[in-house]
Amino acid sequence: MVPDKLPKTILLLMLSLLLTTTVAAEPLRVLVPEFIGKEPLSQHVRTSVYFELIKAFRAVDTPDKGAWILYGQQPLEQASHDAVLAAATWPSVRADLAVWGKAHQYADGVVVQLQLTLTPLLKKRQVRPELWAVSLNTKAGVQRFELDIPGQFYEFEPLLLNREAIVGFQDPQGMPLYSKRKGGSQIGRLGEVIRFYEIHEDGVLIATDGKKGWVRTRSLADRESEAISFSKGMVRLLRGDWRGAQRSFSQVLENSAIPQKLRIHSLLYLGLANEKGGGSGRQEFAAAYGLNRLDRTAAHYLLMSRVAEIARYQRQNKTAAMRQAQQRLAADLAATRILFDKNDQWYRRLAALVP
Amino acid sequence: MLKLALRMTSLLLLLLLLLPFMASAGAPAGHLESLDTEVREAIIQNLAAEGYMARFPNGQDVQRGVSAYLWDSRQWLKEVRFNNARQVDVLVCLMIKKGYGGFAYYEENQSFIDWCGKMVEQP
Repeated sequence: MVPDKLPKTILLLMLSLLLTTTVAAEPLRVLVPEFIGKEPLSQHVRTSVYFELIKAFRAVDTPDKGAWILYGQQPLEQASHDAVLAAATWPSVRADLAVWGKAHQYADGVVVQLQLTLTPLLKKRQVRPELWAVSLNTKAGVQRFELDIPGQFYEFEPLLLNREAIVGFQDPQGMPLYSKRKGGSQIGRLGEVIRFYEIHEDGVLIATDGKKGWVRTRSLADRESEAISFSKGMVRLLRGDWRGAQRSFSQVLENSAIPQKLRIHSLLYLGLANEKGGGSGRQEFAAAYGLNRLDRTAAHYLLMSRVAEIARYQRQNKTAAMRQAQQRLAADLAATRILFDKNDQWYRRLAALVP
Repeated sequence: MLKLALRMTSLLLLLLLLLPFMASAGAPAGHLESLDTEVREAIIQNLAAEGYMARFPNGQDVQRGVSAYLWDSRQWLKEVRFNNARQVDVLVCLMIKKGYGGFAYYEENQSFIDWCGKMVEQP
């Protein structure tokens, strides 16, 4: 006897299967260009940062197509975000973000100035986990509110690396491949294309040129810098790895000495990861807005969290709680009014939600 | 029971379907294997159309086809010394100049078109 709900289940599963194949996310593409500075130091630093960034990925985490982590083999034309954008959006590269910078020898160590550039190609991805969208039933029908991530460029405080932290190879290609994560013997060297299977702090299981083995990695610094944590957090956010993003942005916020813009954006991204992970980012958005009441981006997220709150109560059919959330939205709209143009459509649509 | 079995089978199918896409990979920027599937397919098809042995199961053989094609087309190259990472770019540039399709990203990028003009003569 076939249960009544069976055809529905089959249909649902077939539909999910079809959706997965047609609307699957394209791989996130990350570029680590050659660092600006004297060769071969600039290449060694690029390779070290490259392997540190790989730790932002877990081999099996979110159901998307993984990522391509590309390393540039040519120096940037100049140390500017425009030059990086040109290199990252070059048609054979098409990177969604680039982590780059300058490297200088300093006493026994190396000073690295890291920067992060998000490219316009991010907005062309078919599946964009970082986009925050909330749908509400209104008198005018279902309304969808969207909010995109704020930043395009980030500059971090200089990072001092000791000599041991720098990978001893100019390119990832040629690095030794071992049979075991610890101990074991060398079974070959890295080829041009490497596929990651397991990622740990001290080693990465990879396949290259038909061989599978371990590459041993070190931590870039004794304590993870906010530049690395932030970049990893961004990669994780863009892949929909909410837990990983929460961890990374929380780590950035543990440092009390970071610049205000970085603190505000880390709070916003942490709040976004919380919201996307099924929780509330309200506290983080309020804290970000509290740091600078003239920050329009923080105001956007604060208001959006109110819309998300209304949507949550609407789904739960909690009419009284929904009314209270609408009143809170009205109060926040009034407080942030000065930051928006009177013809700002997004703000006006939100204002229309208040009875 | 039947419903549960069906659900488990579908989940397994879904997992198997997703597995090839889950792994992440690394390569030098511009490497043939890291290109969008459509661009790589266009390169393979065009190489095959010109009689190059390009359609092999692994990427290295396609790479050989690319090198062979560039060598045979060297009379059209204004600049023959270029970084390995630029091989695919030069190949695509040649193919665009020969009128092959499938390279919309490249044709829309003015910097690439300018660079292509400096690298390759009109065949």
